[in-house]
Amino acid sequence: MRSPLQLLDAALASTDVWSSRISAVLFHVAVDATLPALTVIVTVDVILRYVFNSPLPWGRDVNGLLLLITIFSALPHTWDTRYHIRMEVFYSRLRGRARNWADVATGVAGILFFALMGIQALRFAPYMAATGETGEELLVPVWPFMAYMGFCSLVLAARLIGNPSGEERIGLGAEAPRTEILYGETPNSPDNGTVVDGELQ
Amino acid sequence: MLTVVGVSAVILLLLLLLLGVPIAFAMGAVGLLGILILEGPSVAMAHAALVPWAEGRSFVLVTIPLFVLMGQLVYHTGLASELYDGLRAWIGWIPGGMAITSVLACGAFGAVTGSSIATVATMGAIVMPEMKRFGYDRRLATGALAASGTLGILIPPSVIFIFYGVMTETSIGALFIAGIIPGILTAAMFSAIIYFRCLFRPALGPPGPGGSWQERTDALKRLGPIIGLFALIIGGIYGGIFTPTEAAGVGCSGVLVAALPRRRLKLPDVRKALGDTVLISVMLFAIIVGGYVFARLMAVTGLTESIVQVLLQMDLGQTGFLFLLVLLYLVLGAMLDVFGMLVLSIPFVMPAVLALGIDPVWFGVFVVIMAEVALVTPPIGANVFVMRRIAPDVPMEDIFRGVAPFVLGEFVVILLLVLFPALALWLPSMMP
Repeated sequence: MRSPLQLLDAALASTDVWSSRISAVLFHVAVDATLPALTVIVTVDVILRYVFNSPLPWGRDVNGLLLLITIFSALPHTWDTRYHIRMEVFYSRLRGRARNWADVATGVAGILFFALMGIQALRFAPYMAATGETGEELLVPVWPFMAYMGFCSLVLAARLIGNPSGEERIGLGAEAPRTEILYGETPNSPDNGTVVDGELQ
Repeated sequence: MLTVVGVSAVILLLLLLLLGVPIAFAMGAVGLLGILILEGPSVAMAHAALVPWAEGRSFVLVTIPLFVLMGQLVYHTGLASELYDGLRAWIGWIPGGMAITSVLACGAFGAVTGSSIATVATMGAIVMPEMKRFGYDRRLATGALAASGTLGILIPPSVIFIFYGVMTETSIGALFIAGIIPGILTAAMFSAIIYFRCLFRPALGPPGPGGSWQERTDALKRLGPIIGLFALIIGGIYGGIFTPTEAAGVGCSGVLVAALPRRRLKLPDVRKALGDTVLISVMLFAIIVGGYVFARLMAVTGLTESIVQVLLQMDLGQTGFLFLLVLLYLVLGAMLDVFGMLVLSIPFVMPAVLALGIDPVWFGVFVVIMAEVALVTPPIGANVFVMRRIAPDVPMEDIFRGVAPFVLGEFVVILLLVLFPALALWLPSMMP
């Protein structure tokens, strides 16, 4: 017979595993499909506009939706690669219990923000389906994209529960790029001196 | 009640930030919590989903991943060393020539990558061994490289300009063009600092080998891809041919077309560039969405308006206000990275900027120069930390000291911009 705490531990470990797997798959969607497609369509649209005077009428709609999918697909993985910018000056000096409380604050804030985002997006999706909302030029229903946004936000909320301290994970099965140098900041504080030579972010 | 919630929200936000909660999470959560208290759960929930839904499909935001991708691709092509060699053939022989070459090479490389840290990491690895070999003063060498890396965020295209443009709804094209003259001015200022220091104290930076005319002509050819890419993007935007988003798409394709057939870029590099791009874009997107939610709360509470009123009643005038902002950004820059610095200050500062009649495009240039200063001043000074990794034998303190003359140079550039706003505004005013 397992104690409630053991059951909770098992549930958290399970959440960590399944959300990590989903996060990795979603990241591949962004890297291998939607971002390349976005780049190609923007370029083709420019060429068609200026060379043939015939731009893609649905270009902006599709680009907007591709951006949305790209961003939300990679959102959960960003947590595991420690990409979110934080003020490291004090955090990097916290140890033991103080560090744990800081991680709890991060988890609570993140879950509040992204779980609400996910829940509300999933509530909006059926409404959008019922009203038949479509893009401006591209007459396809947009509710699946709202639902996708909600799903990805909830996966991030699950990652925050499964990996609350934001330990670096390369998602299961994901050959995720490990990047260290950011535009203006390093994911691991510069104070820690963990910038890796030659790795550009 | 409104003021109490507003002030409490700001205090809670600062507390969370000090605890190391990611900026996007802290702003989003505090913003939603405040809206929930003031306007009820349905409004808070609606904001939670509608802000990312609107921003996530914004055509303007498409610019961010595309320019980041272009920078990533250029980074992997190995054009940086050709750029340095090309410039060295022309100016390596003058006093402090190698350091001046590194300033110009950083400016050019930073222009197409848009990342100051990537510029320092790349150029530092190429230039630092050369400067050591020729006996350059280590403070001068590391300081010049760390400071020159910051040119990447001022000379367009620049991700910081895009970020500022999105947050303040300022034309990104105009911001890019506005950054050109101040960027060149800053590069010239850095070069002049090195030249005169080395002229009067030759031991600091002895002249290097000069290139023959044949070498110089060949060098010009090697500079071609970078100059061509810059001309394509900025010329296209300036001439009204491309929007910044379109220019970014064309820039990415241009790099691929130029690099793939010549095997300057391999498919694994492209994939790595795509992965890094996605993660950077998500990080920026999360900050933008969190910032919007928090700014909405500040608008509801009227706190932004109150701060603007206080600032106006202080009757500082434009110059006094800007002096205050220099101090504010020095403090913020000591605690936050450049994006955090912007997202925390802009919702409060921008209304006062507009109320005082300061041009938002000009202010964008000012903010980016302050971000440059933050990148090389302690305790964060991210560029200095990268430089330290490249030159582990040079103490951190020496690098910060080496950077000091260039920081003074940045302040002179700011002073010139205050005295002559046309330095930033003339080119945008000529745009069609």
